[in-house]
Amino acid sequence: MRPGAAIAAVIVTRLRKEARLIAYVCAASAIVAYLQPHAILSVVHDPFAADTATRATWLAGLTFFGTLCGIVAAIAQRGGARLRELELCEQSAPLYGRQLARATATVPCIIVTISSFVYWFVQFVTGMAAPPAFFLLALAAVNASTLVACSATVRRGPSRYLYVALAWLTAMVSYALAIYLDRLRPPPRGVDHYSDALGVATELSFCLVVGFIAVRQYGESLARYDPVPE
Amino acid sequence: MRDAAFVRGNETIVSPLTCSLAPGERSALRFESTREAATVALMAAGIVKASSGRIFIGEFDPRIQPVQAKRIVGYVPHEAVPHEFATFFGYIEYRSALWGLQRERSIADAAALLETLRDVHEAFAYPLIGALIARPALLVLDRPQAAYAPQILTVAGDCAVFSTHVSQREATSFARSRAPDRAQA
Repeated sequence: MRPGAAIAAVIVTRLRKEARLIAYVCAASAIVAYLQPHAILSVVHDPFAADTATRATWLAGLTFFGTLCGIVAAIAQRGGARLRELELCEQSAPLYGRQLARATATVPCIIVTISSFVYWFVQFVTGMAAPPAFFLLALAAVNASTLVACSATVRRGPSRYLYVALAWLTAMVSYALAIYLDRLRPPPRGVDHYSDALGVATELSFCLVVGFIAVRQYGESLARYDPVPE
Repeated sequence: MRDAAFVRGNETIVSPLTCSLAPGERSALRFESTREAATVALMAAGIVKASSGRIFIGEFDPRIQPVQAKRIVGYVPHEAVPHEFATFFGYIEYRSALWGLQRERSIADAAALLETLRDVHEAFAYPLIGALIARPALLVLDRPQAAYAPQILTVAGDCAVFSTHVSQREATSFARSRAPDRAQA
């Protein structure tokens, strides 16, 4: 038994099935990145406020629109008739819930990573792209919230909405950590901007922990999941 | 299955059901609704866990040993083969990777089965071949086509066959065989 080959087969087949969704998500990302603000308001004279506004301009669209794309891509992975045949094929295979969870959670993460790169590229072309470190922060946030949203696909009713809300909460907390955490400390003397170190480290650690717990939780839910026809 | 039932919320989808199947036997059960028939097939394949009662596939309880149970079952859904696969052998390679089978052996087995099932429409033949390449001990058929019963039972060979139906005529056509058969209403 080669679980790696099985996981790769699931990912490749699902990505092929989602080609149209990938195209839509990328097109939407490009449009939103083009329309988003590309400059800091001239009324912001305080260098520290300007620093915060710049970070917000880099990250807000990328993080929150990316989260929306991630939730859509995650929800599209299960339920309904569209992927029913693939789902039954995967569920009947001798795979553990955790293996299936890793495979099916990777698909929306790949989709949202591609759309984030498209978003960032359009930001870059229009002149207000986040620097690589901040792009990494946004990428971590959207992937963590996408992994949380995966658990919504194996639930019904209010608990499904709860996981979608948790995915948004993950994005909001990540954004707040990246933008505001460094402001809690006074900036070093003689410097007109805040240090990034604490915000970057804390946000990445937060996303890593949330993502890890989300995949574990998704695996356990998938092991108990009963794909009964509606 | 012993008193196996499936309940979701307040809705009873499968009423308590008891049946057993020895190696090589066939069992064709008829149900009132397509949903119940589909759910029983999923329970027999170890995909859906019973809400109450017990199910054993071979000597494995799918609630505790799902992977071992699924390894000896071939499940043929009512739905057609997913159309993401450009070719039949693309589908076989996918199934082979999921089951951890040798690719070349699976393709050879699939080609031989395709030849045997040349009279069967591909929408019905492909999922059956996909299930049989893993050489299961139990073949579970969810509402199979009665018109293809002889061909399906021929390729199933010595496999135990469990099928669910919504019409008595279809159930009878799958129960007709060498083994101690039954068609239950």
